[in-house]
Amino acid sequence: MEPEVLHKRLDEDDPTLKRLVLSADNGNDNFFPATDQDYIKLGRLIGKNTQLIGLSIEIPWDQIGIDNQNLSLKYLASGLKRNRSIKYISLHNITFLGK
Amino acid sequence: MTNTPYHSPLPISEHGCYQYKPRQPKETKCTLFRDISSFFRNNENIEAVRLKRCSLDINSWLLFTRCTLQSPSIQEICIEDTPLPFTKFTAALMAFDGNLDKVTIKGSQIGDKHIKLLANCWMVDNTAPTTLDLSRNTISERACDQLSRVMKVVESLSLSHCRSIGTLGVYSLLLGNESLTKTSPSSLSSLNLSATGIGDIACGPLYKMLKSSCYTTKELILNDNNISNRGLAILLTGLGSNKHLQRLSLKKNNITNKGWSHVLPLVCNDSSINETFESNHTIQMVEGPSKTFWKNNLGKKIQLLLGVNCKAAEEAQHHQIGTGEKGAAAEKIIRYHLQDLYNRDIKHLVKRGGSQSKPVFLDCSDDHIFPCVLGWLGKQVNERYTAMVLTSFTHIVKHKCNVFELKRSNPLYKKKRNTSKIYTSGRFQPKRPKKKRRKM
Repeated sequence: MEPEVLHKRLDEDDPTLKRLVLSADNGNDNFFPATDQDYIKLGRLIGKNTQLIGLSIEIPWDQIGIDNQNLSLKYLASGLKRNRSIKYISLHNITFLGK
Repeated sequence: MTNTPYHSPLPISEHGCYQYKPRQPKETKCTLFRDISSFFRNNENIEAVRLKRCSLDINSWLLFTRCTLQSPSIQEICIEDTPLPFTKFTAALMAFDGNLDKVTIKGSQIGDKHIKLLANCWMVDNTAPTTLDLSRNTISERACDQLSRVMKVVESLSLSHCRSIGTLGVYSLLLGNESLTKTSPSSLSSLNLSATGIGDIACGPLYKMLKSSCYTTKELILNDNNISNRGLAILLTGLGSNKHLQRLSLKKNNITNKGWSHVLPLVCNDSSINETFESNHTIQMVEGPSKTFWKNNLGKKIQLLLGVNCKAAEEAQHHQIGTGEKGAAAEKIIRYHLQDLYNRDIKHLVKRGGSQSKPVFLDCSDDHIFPCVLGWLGKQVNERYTAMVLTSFTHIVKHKCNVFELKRSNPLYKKKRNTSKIYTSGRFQPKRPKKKRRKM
């Protein structure tokens, strides 16, 4: 999915956009945020969206690097925490450190 | 006062200007759960969380647990290929407690100690999930003993690829809980024991499970094990009187086509109408035979009969009259005893010299049941069976009712059997042979 299209659909609360997969693979529901700006904007738009039900984060972090993973997810999480519509959340290949 | 050189914190480029360098974060740690804890706290809709191929330190597991406990609607937690050594497991334990519907902990290095802790936790609160998937872990028969304690609640259990389970594990799991009774049965509906290293001996406890009134299991998956024809025969014997199992999967075992051929008498024993009536009309799917088996006549016949069971069960769900097990039994009786009366059975009988299977009322001593058979056929007329019943009538009438055609000159006439079958009030019951009086 093209970033502009996704941003528009999220922003306009497209009722047909129920599931979003952040992945490098091609697919109808898939989107690959390439830059930090993409993550920031995506987090903000997901936070405001009221139609999204499923979110799956399947980014190949091993190819991108751990630092990128931490920063990117931080940007995403800052917006995501405002979301109230997501029912299913799936997190893949992530290294979590608590403190 | 001395002049000390000023050291700028920023690097100076070769042109003498300060060079901008983006600030790097001090911490390069992912604190996603801390960042989104308010998401879990405030989002009342969150139902399922899945972690796949992740790595969490003990603090992250604590945060994860806190997050899931904060979410009131959470129903499902899935941890897949994410290592959970015992210390971390204790941190995450409370996440698996509560009224969850589904807990999946796959390929996460779960051992017997973990299961004991988990089972204790669930037993104390009586809050075991209805679906439990513990595949690809290192659990053994001791864990099975612990899991047997929660069998009253768990509806679907998967222990696939837990290779240390073995026969003892199956025994402990199914027969270890003595509190299971007919009035307080197990809720287990689906059991997956694929690749658990079990063989023919483990079919013993499975046989007991199939025969037991404490279990109403609908699905039994035993793929990728060492079960041979002997084990299959044990299972099929258990299925003879079972009224619940719908799917039996035995892919990648050591069962030959000869072994699979014994499924036929299970689903339709056509030696007599009584035996057909008493056959298994519940099983709908048998997985394991090769493609060549399904292509031969025997395979096709088994498939057809499984289809009859399946169709009858589907129609029973829609509360249609004459469906369900009785419907399947009726269809099999019509199909294999009444419909093709002349073309199949007479030829078959003559060819085999009348010593093998025969249609019931071809025995000349049973001609009095003929009106009952016609009456029973008449009762089967509904949307589903109309065509079949009419075909049966056509065959019977077309061949002048067969039974009356057998004359004294016919060699079959002399082949009377001692145990002929009689149809009475909707159920075929064996007719007792008359005792001959000895002449004094």
